[in-house]
Amino acid sequence: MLDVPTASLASLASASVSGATATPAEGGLLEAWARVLSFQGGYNTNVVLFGTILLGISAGAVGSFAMLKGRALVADAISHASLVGVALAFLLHSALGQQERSMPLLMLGAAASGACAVVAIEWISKHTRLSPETAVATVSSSSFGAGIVALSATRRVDGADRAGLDELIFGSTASMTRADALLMAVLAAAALGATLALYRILTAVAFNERFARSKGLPVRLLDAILAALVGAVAMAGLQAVGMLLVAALLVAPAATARLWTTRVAPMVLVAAAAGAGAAWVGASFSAVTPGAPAGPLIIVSAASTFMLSLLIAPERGLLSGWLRHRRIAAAARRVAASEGQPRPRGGAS
Amino acid sequence: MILRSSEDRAPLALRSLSVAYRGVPALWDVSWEARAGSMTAIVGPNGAGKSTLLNAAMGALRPLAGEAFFWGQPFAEARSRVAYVPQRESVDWDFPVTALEVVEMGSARRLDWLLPAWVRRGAANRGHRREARGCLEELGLGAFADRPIGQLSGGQQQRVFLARALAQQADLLLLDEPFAGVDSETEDALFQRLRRLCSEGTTVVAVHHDLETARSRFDDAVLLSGSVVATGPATEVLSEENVRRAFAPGSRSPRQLA
Repeated sequence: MLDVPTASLASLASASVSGATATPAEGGLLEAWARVLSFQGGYNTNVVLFGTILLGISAGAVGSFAMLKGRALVADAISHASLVGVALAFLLHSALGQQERSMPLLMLGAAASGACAVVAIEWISKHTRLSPETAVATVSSSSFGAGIVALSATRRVDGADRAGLDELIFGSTASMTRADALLMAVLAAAALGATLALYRILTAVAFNERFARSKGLPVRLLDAILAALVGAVAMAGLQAVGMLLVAALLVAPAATARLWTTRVAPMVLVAAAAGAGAAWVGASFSAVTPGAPAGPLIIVSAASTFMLSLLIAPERGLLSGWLRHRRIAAAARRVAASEGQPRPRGGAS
Repeated sequence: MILRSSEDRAPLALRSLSVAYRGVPALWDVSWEARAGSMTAIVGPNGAGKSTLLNAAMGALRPLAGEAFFWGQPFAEARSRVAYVPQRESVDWDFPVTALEVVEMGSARRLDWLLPAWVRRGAANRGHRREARGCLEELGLGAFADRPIGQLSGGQQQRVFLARALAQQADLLLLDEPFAGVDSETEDALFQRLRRLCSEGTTVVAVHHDLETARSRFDDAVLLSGSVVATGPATEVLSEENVRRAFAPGSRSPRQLA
């Protein structure tokens, strides 16, 4: 159990790919991908895939409220800050003589340093004249620096399995065990459930904080809860998506959904769907191409959806804006032209 | 000491209220009582502490000293009787919410916030919705109920906020620049509506920047310039002499207060 990686996705994936190498490489890859996409990649692959999809749903929903509250950047800070916590948790763990990597402990480390980052941001923006943006940028990058320093310290630890540590930065489903996937799924589901339960109150506070305060809603508590939800998603996504990229999974689906919708409930639904779609496509493609990490693939597909939406979304899309502008410009030119010349005989056109 | 029933007391009473932002005083030693059933304008130059006064009264800012009472009670005890309309600028008007949804936030009771819409279905919820729609219609926005607020004009947005305040069925309205971006015709209609509320016993306290309408439309006025310059009947408070004093350059420099 200790030295045999528990039925990892990578070995499964390479098995499925090598099984398909009888056919030409191109067709083989697509075929294998189609099989994983349609959830026929085997039990372990499916566990990871479902877990990642649930993570995408949860990230879309939680990210929607983070974005509406104007705190999308806080997600970024949390994800940058988690590195130092992960590295310190690792150091602590190996100092205690443990060899095996403990995912829950690393997650706790990430959560603790993420929470410190949020508190630091709140404190700076409340007690100084610096803008919240400046506070976020400062905390985000300096805590990442501290994380890199702590990470280099882990290199001095002999014999410890620190290979997984680097993977946590950019994410990889390949080394995920079934237990890891379940942990991710449970965390993501909890964050999703809490978000849906608090949907109305989160909307009210995000829309008009002063009014919410006057109605007696616990505005500060809700801020803390939202930060905790973002943290929970970041923790859940630590392994599959990676601590740096999970911020993008929180923001990109929400930004995509905002382009297509004009109300909160549909926006949350679309964001959840966009997050799920990105996770589904990215994680399954990673499963059939060994060496291609899931995290970046998931983020790239989320970003592609966003860019496509930016182009073609009705009302808020670039294309529809351009068409609208062309139409109105043409109308204005017609008016100008008709006034520049004497009206044709007979008057009315 | 004779304890009076809370109904006898002023809807809003400030006692020596002082507020500072990071050590710079914004409001200094303000004492004032609103008369029940009256309309009061809070007037003063930029930075005079007008919005600060409302926010400090509601406990959104912690005062350095002094207290605010609503019918003799702290705000926390009285908040269900108070409706607040924040300044336009404090709101993200691109927020994905419809006019009706905004107004419904006004009538929401404590428990409603925790129950998602699909749980609250039923007679009570339909009643809320009808009530909210009624408030919008009263302000001439019935046709815009299902529009996202971002698609409304500035004046319409301001009316949505007033509709939300109406939906709260409050005894005291605290309005921060409620007529910003509102055309004169709408302003007229809104003043009439507020006047009718006052005749039914509601008290209105509004931050207002137009001296002309402050004199002609309001009963009372508080002239602020960091500290109180004058309080009382609007026409007297807003005399040329007082206004000159409040708006004189340098008078509003909060540093001179302390």
